[in-house]
Amino acid sequence: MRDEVEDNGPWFGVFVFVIVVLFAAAGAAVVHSLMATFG
Amino acid sequence: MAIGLLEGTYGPDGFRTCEVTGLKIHRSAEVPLKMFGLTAVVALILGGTAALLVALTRWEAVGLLQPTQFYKYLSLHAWNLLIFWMVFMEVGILYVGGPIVLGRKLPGTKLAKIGWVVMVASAVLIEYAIWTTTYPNQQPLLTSYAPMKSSALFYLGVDTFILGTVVAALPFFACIWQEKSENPNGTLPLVTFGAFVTGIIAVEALLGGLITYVPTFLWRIGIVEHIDAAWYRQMYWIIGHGTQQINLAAMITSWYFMTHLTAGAEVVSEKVSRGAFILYLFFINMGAAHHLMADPALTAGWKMWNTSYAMYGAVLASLIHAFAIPAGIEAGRRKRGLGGDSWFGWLKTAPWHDPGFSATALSIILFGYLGGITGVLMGQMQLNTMRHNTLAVPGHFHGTVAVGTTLAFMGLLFYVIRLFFKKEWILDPLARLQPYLYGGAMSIASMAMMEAGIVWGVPRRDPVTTSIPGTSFSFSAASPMLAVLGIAAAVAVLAGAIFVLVAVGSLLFGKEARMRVPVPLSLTGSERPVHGFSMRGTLAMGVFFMLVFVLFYGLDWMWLSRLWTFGT
Repeated sequence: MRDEVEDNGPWFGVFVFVIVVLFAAAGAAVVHSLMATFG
Repeated sequence: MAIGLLEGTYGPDGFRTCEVTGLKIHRSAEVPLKMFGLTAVVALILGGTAALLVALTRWEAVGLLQPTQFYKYLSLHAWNLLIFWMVFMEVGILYVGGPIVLGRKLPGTKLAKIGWVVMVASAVLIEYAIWTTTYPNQQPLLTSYAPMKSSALFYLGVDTFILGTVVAALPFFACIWQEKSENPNGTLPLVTFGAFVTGIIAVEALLGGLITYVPTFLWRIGIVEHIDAAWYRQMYWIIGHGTQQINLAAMITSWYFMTHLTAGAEVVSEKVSRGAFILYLFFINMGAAHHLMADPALTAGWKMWNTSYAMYGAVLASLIHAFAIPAGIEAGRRKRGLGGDSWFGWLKTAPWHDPGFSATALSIILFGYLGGITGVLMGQMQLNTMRHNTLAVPGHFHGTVAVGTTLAFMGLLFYVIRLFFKKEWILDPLARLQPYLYGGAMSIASMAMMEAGIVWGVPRRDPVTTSIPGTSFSFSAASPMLAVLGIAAAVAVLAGAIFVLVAVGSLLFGKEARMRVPVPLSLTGSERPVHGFSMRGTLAMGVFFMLVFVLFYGLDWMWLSRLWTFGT
C-alpha cells in the first residue's frame, strides 16, 4: 500500500464483526417469525 | 467562545483554500455552515435525550413515563430529531454543495442569518408549545392530525419554521443562479447537482407545509371555521414525508461527498448518477402516499398508482445510487492502486478506522437493508396492511433516518470539525468506535421494532400494550422483544452521547487539526478512465442484496396469505 495511505488497523475486523452480528440477528428474527407462523 | 468558533483565517478577498480538498472557501459560506451545524447538534442532544425516555417507556417492564409524559417526550423526540436536527444539517449541506464546492461567495448572507434566527426562534416556540401543552390541547406528535387540536403556538411555530427554512435556502439558489449565469454551458459538480435536487425537493415539501399548516393555524385560532380531516391528512404528508425525502437526497449527496473525501471514490458514470437524482425529483414524492394506504377517503386506484407504480421510479433511483456509490469506491481505489486486484481488497483496506468513512459506509449498508427493503415492502398496498400502525413502522423509519441519515450526518460532522473548524477529534478511540456502536445498536433496535410489529402486531405510539386497561387484550407475548428494543435503544443513545461528547469536546478542547484525509485525493495512478476498472466486488454485493430483497419480499407475501381473507 502507498505510504501516504493510513493503515486501518483492526477496524475492518470490527466492521465485519458488526455486520455478522446484525445478519445473525436478522436471521434469528426470520427463523423466529417462521416458527411463530408454522410452529 | 462561540463567536471564536465561527471565525477562521481568510485572505483579503475573504477566501481561504482548504489544504486537503483544494476548495476555495469564502467566509460568507463557512460561518453560516458552522452556525447551522452547531444548532443541529443541539437538536440532536434534545431529541436523543427524549429518545431514551421514550424507549425506556416502550420497554414496558421499565415503563418509565406515564402516558401524558410519554406523548410529550415522543413529540419532542420526533420534532427534534426528524425535523430540527435534519433540517439544520440540510441547510448546512446546501451551503457545502453550493458556494463551498463551487468556490463562490454565499450571496445574501444576511438572508442566511435571518433564516437561521427565524428557524431557531420557531424551534424554541415549538419546544415551548409541546412542553406546556395541557388538556384540552393534545400533544401533536409528528403528524398533528386535525381535527385533534394542539396548542396554537405549535402551529404558529411550524409556519414560521417553514418560512425561516425557505429564507435560509434562498442564498443557495441565488448561488446556483449566479454560477449558471456566469457559466451557462458549464456542468454543476455532482455534489452541487445533488444539493440542488435536494433544494428543489425541499421547496416542494416546504410549500406543502405552508399549504397545510397556515389554514390549520387559522382554524386553530378560530378564523377558519372548519378544516377537513381528510384534506389535512393528504396535504400534511407533502411535508410529513417530504422532509424525509429531503433527508434522503441530502444523505445521498453526503454519501458521494464523503466516500470521495475519505476513501478516494470516483463517480463511475456522472450521467447515471445524475439521472438517478432526476428520478428522485419526479417520483420520490409519491412515497408519501404509503402513509395513506389505510385512509378511507382515498381510492384504491390513487393508492396503487402512487405507491405500486410511480414510487418504483424512486426505488430505481435508490438502487442506482446503492450500486454507483460502492462501485465508485471500488473503481476509485483500484485506480489509485489500493487493495490489490482481488475481489474485496479495495474494501478490506478501506479506512474503517476513520469515523467519517465508517459512519458513511455503515449508513449506506444499513439504510439499504433495513430502511430500503422495508420501505418498498411497506409502500405496497397489500403488504402495507400487515405493518400499518404497528411498531414495524417506526422500525422501518429508524432504519432510514436513524441508521441511514443520522449516521451519515454524524460522519459528515466529523469532517466539518476537522476541515472547517480545524480541530482534531478528542478521545480518538471513542470517536473511531462511535459509528459501529451507534449503527449496530440502532439496527438492533430497528429490527426489534419490526419483529414486535410484524409477529405480534404491537401498535406504535402506545406506551401500554402488555396490560391494556379495561380489556383482556394484551401484547404481553412481545415483552422480550420490547426489552431488546429498550436495551438496544439505550446503547444507541449512549453512542449518540459519545458523538456529542467527541464533537463538542473537540470544538472546545481539540488541538489544531493536522489537515488530512485517509487517502490521497489526487489521481496519480493509471491513465485508464475510472469506469475501466473492475467493479466485480460491488456487483457481487449487489446480487447478494437483491437476493435478500427477494427473500423478504417472498416472506411478506407468504405471511400476508396466511393472515385472513379480505372482504369476507
